[in-house]
Amino acid sequence: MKDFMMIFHSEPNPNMEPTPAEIEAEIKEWMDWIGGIGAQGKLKNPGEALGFEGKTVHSDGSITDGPYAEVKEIVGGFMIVSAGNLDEAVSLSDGCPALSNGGKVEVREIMPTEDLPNG
Amino acid sequence: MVDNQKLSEIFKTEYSNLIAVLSNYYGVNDLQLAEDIVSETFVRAMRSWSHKGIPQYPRAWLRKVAQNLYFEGIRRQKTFDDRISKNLYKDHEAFDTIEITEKLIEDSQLRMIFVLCDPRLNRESQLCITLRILCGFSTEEISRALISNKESINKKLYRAKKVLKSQLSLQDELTKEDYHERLDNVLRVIYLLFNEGYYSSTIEEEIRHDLCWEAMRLGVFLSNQQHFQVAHVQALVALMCFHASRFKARLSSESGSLLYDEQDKSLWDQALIKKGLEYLNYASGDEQVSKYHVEATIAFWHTQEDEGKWEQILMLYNKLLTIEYSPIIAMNRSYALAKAQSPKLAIEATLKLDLAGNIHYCCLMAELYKMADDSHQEVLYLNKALKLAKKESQKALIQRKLEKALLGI
Repeated sequence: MKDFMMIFHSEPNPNMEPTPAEIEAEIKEWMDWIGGIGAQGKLKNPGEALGFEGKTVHSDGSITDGPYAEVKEIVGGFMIVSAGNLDEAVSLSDGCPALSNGGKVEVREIMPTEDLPNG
Repeated sequence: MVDNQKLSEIFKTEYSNLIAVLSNYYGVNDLQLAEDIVSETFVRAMRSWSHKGIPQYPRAWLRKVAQNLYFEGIRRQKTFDDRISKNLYKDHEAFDTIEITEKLIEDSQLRMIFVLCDPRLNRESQLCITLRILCGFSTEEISRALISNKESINKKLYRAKKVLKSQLSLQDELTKEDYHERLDNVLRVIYLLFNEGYYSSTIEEEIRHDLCWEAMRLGVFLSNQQHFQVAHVQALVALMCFHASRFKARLSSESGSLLYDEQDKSLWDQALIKKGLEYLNYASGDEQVSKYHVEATIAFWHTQEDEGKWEQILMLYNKLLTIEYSPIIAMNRSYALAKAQSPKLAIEATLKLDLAGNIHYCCLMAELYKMADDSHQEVLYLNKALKLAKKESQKALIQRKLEKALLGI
């Protein structure tokens, strides 16, 4: 089994102000999907959801507001799953709420650092 | 005549009390010596009581005799020291006065729990040695409780004592960090004890009861200690209370069924449910949510009639799976999904579980198909389960379900 990170991308909508009930419904959708992966014993780390607030530090020392000044998409969260191979990891994204909201799921293998010298 | 049941009860509880106290003085480096003294104490009690009957204060009697045996040992050791090796063991003087009080017993037992849950021992060894030293189980009883044979349990006990011996000397105290680090181990051992009793269908009823009550006793004891009135200890006690409240209902249902819907709710112990709720309230003070909180809350919802509970239960299983995976949790989640949303969704999710050779999985699939009115698939899975069943009672149960399902076609 290898570990893969799922990174959830979405296009932010700054005008959206969800009601508490909507937030709750969305959390539930995510939890049901994550629970399904957990039930298969393939959830390595449930990860975190990221808030909208943020700043970006640039190499020239400048700091800009928010991650979305230059990019249209933002990373909304991540989690880590275990799977035999990339295809299997990709198939775990089936039913992910990010997809039904027009977002994307990026699936990346996590490099096993313990094999590296001084890792 | 001596009342045997009363006697065995006294011996069992007093066994762990006495060992814990004596080990305070001998140090854990000689658990065997403490055990020998306690055994000798019991032998003397049997001899004396079979003539005169059980004395009015049997526990005090036992404590007194154990104390005397301890002193005898010390005196013998002292004579040996004085005459033969004068300069050794000087510090024995310090322990010449022991009086076995309730307070001493509590402190000693508390310390003992943490000593036994040594991280160098594996789970099974921790369980064995806890059953022996803290619950006073005989080797025979331990092997029945853990479904193993006496030889293998004896070996485990022997090795565990050896490991413990190498660690603590007389005056060594566990540090604050030790207590902190080992708390999770301690809770796990208590939880495992309880589960062995609650879930195993192969252990005889009497032993199962004992295991559950011992686990609860240890949990409540721990939760009463000043430094361990922490949320996850209380959550664990709450969980055990909720489960135990259904013990009777479970045993009396024809299949020993774990499915709450099939149990006679009038047999649920309301007092224990209330107790569980009290503990769960205490436990909610803390922000940290442990798996015991989640499981206790699930168990709480099961005591409620509210139909909306299944969404809650599903959410809690989702949460639990982010903390820990086990096939049982995964299967319970499927059932909750069927109840909360639809059997069809649950079947899809359950087909993804890699548990096809598991009899409980086959029974669950049959149940889900039954809920989805697909008796053809139901029968298919019941037949698979029947092939996997080993015990007669299990076979009979599946057979009955099969007959019902076939009538439905």
